[in-house]
Amino acid sequence: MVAFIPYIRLVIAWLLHVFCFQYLVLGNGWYFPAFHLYGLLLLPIALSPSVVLLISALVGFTLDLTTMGGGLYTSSALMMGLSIPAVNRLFAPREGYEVNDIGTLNSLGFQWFTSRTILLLFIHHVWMFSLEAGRWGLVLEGWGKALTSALFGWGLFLAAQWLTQSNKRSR
Amino acid sequence: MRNLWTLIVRYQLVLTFIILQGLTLGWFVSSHGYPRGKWVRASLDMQGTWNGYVSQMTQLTDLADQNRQLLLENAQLKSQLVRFIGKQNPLTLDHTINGLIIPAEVIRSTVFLSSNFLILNKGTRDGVMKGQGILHGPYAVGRVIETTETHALVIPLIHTEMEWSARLGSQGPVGRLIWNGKDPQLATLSDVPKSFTVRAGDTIFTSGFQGIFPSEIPYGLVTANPSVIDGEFQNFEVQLGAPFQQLRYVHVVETGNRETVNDLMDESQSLFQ
Repeated sequence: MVAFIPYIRLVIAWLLHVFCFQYLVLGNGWYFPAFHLYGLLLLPIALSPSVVLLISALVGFTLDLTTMGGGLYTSSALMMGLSIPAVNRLFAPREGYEVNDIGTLNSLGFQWFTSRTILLLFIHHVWMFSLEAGRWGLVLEGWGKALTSALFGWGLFLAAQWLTQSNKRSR
Repeated sequence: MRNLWTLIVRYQLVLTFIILQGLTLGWFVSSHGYPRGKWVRASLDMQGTWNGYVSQMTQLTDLADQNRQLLLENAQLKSQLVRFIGKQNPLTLDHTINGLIIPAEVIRSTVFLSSNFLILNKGTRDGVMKGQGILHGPYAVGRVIETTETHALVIPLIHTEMEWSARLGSQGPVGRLIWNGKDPQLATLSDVPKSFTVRAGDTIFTSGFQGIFPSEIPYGLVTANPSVIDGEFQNFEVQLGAPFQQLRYVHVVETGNRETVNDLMDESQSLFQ
């Protein structure tokens, strides 16, 4: 049952985004609450990169279908899905990951969670806001939104972690 | 052959990414700014009901409810006026609205994207069709681009991929109204000859050339910012009249000459091909 938790969380995060978070307009669009990515970030670290990529594509695609994204979210989720294994390697602890590690705050600590979340959200948002801008004149502003939204997303995910995780730390 | 297979297996992740990203970008490019087709209709149906609930949840005060009733009543009266009393649009004097004004509620809207959209709670069952114009009070709001039985998808003026035919004053030259993707209340009127004097507060109207809106529906007013000279033309900043961040109740209008305009445009384009 424990093995299914990350996937259940993935579905719940997606549902929360589709039914609640997509309606939030904060700071004139400068803080995009991409809550559907929460479940992707918390997938098991040992999961095969190809599976992570396919799950990311599925999350983005279903979001595009329900929110009229027209491929915007699939494309951005794919970019993040490709980056997840690379970023995991970049921030790997000296002794390496354990088989049952997942990307939660409790599992790998505050610093690891913060660096990885901000970097992955930034990669996702830079791609998404650049595509969405559609013209060069708006790209720079899009990157600004990517940065503020990545920081906002980190805060949001941190709050979600604090609200849902127990105090036990595995490392 | 074996080497090729080894190569594919080794780079399967990147190859899968490239294939999926290619397909997705193809979808994005074909739909960005002008989403149409089966997937949009499916999406409208899927989201429409929930959007309606969300919209209702935000409408908590009695005042909003009363306002809604009044606006619906107002729109129905206008519609009756157009149909039975002289075929004149009560909004302004010389419009040729084809007797069809459908009151609708905006149940979902985006304002801070470059390709914004609105979803209305009225569809083909209520007479809403692709190509019809949307008004908020007397002001132009956008154009219906996709419909289902119960909902309609609208591209508003604040959309970077669209250009809207506009006239300076009721007798002035015709230019293009374009949104630059930043402030949702500011657009630019371009291609106005340099020789025309423009003052702050001048009204920018629809030209009626696109067949979306009747002529002389106001888009907004020229702001006090100075014009920008571009060769033989000048560009102006326009304060849009429709409050895009607070849009709630709108009217769908039919010009009556949309089909004729489209047919003539198709014909003229085919002459030059």
